[in-house]
Amino acid sequence: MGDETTEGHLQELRRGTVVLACLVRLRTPGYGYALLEALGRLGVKTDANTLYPLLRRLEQQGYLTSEWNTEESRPRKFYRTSPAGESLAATLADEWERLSDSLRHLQDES
Amino acid sequence: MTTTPTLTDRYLYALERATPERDRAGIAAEVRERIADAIDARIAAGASPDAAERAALDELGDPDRLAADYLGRTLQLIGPKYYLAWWRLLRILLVTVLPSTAGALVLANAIAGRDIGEIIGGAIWVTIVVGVNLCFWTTLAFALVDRYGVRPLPALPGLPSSPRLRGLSALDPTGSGAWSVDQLPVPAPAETRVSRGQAIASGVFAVIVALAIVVQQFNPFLHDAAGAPIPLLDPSLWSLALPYLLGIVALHVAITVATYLQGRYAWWTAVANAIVNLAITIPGIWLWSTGALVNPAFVEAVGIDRTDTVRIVGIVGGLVWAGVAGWDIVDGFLRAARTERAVGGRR
Repeated sequence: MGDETTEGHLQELRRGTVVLACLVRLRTPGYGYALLEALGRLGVKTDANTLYPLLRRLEQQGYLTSEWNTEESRPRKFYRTSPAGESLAATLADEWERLSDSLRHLQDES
Repeated sequence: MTTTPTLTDRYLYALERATPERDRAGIAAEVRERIADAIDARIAAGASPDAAERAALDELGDPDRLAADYLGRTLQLIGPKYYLAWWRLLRILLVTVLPSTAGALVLANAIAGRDIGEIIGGAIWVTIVVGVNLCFWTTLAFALVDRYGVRPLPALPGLPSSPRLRGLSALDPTGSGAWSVDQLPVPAPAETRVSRGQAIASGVFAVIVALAIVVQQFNPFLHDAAGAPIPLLDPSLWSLALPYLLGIVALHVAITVATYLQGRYAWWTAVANAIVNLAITIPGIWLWSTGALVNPAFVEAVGIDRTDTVRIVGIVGGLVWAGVAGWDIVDGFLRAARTERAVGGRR
């Protein structure tokens, strides 16, 4: 078994968790690069090519709101979790807990 | 004052070209911010500004792909949603349209009196042209539907909902025509056993052919001035062709009986059937097309000239003959293949 297949399975497992991490983190407004750094520091592995388009999609789906901040030297787009985003985050977190419990039971049984 | 555009400007220009107007400004602004942040991070890590810009843009990758990522577009012609519908329709079109157009062209060219090379060349040409066109337009239509989408057709009132109609609506997977178990094909029964009826029918047919060949010699319907019968087939053929024909017919009966006694079709029966068919069809059509098959005295007595009508009937008859023989050969191999699969599966 190559490391590549392992990496592929890990990516599959992480895919949905990035959405949850973004929604939770953006309760306080933030912009793309800062979020990327923060998630990296917290150990939620994601790359820029996934994160930036994801932010845009979540905004279009109404889970994030955005605002251009022009106070600093460069304009930056600040995202913030919307009420719909909050409820999605709650749903995702519940599911995460449930799955985690189920998998633990599964491993205890065997 | 003119300034040379930076690599970032060029990247954004390429990106904007790949983005529809509606999203252009928004995406460009977002990516500009993203690039600037990535460059700053690299400079902070000790890279030179030029190297940092180059590396940051390298990481972004192909602007067309980036635009697709931001727009949520998939980089494929026909996605999984329509792939099966596309493939089913294309298969149906190819197996029905290609043989019928090629067949029609062969018939038309034969009637027009073209030579055999021209007829075969024309058939190959029309098959390629029509095949390429079918593939192209079908794929284009599905690619457009896949990219821009269609609203599901409203259900027509009063339309019977037979499985066959539902099968057609499988071309519209977004609508009510989702796949259902009713569309499952019924497996064709594997005709591994040769039925007695088939063997008898084949034998009876052979006997009729043999009798017809003999009886036409003593044609009871047409007599010449001296009261002697005028046969349909040229009597000079009795020297070789007609005995040969009778022999082949006998051989065909023998093969059928042998197949029946063996109880199932096999590769050797298919090959023997093919040989017998070719042995009768090739000389037969040759005689037919050269006009050597029919007794000239018969033509005269019936009072038909070798007009265009006769020629066209001759061509159509020849093609039908070739078609029947060709299908019989193919059918022999199909039965053998089906038998092989069924028997192999049971083993």
